[in-house]
Amino acid sequence: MIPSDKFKFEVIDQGSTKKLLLKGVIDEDSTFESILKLSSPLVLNFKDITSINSCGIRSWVNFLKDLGETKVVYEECPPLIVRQLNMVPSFAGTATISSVYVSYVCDNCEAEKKILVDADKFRTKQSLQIAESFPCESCKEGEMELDSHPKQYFAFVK
Amino acid sequence: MKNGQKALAPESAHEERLICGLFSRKHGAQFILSGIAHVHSTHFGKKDSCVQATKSALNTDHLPEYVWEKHNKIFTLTLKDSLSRSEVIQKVLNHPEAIGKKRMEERVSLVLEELLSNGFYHAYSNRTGKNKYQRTKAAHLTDKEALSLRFAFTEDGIFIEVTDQGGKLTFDEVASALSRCYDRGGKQIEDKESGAGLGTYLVLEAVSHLKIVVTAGVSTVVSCWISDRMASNHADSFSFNFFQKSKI
Repeated sequence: MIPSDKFKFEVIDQGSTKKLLLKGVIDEDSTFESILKLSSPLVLNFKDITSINSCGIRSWVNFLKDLGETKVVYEECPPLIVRQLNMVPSFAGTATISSVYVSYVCDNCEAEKKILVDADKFRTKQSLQIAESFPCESCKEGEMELDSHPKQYFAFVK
Repeated sequence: MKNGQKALAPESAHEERLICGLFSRKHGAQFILSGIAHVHSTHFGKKDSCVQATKSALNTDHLPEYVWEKHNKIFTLTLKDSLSRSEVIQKVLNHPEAIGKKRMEERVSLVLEELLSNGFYHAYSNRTGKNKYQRTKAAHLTDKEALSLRFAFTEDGIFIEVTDQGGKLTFDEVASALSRCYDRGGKQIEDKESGAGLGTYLVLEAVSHLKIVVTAGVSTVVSCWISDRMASNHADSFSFNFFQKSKI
């Protein structure tokens, strides 16, 4: 683990590619210089990113510019990252999105569940294969409903 | 404007700066850029209670009190130290009344972060007219500069209001920032020391209603209501209201 106040990451060597498990907060204090030094194709896992603010978005976009031609894949993007993908196109740059979390909420007991969806389910806007609802496992009575409009949530899909 | 959906024309001179209809936030930003300070996108047209409140306020020169601002239990916090932002955000998210609002945490956190950051780093100027507090450093406000945070929890959402004692924000600044951000082009992110220029845009995208009241040189009050089902229900329903008050 590379020490930092709010933003941390763990590197998993996958041969020619390095997977980075990103954790914490991306804001004006976040620096990504040590990631730049890795100089290999990157799989960036966002599962444990808890927050990002406007200055963090700018830092991230500048980091992507510094990465240049490096091949980058985003995986396990939580809703807060999907929101940035939708609002700020340069947040993804030329990265490939391999999977995102989709939130569901029970219409009866308000239980929440995040389901990981792979890119083959959202390759194009026309071919979204996202379940709009499924039975709630918590209360066994309600339906877990998609907590967002699918076309809006997957607006980042080209 | 989406196919088949129109903005309704104003009925009187008072309403020249009000538009309502059903449109996206991006189209709303275009109205705002054209000088319209009161933009309501609603499925109910002019019958919408928020539109009615805005209209009556324009006719009387009084500030409206929207449904989402009327609560019996409004909590208040005062902030002077920018480093306390994350602690304050956690206080709101972990408030005993916030039970059942977990799904809103991400949006509430983002809105609070951006509104409080704007208060700390954009509300106050030094003698040269530049921001008094630099984004790269912690800001320690004086008593006369302290920010006030008010918040309340309702069955279906959260009300948030941040007040600074600078009163620096202008309608034109808001309009151009929203326009630049909704263009989503290469200039979406600014390279200024003071910030990325995305804050108001991120807030408008996260909330259902946004109201800004500026009394020049006295205060800026930014209040909003975040619906807990905003994304799934009436995704295109939102309002933006900018009021410029005279110094008393």
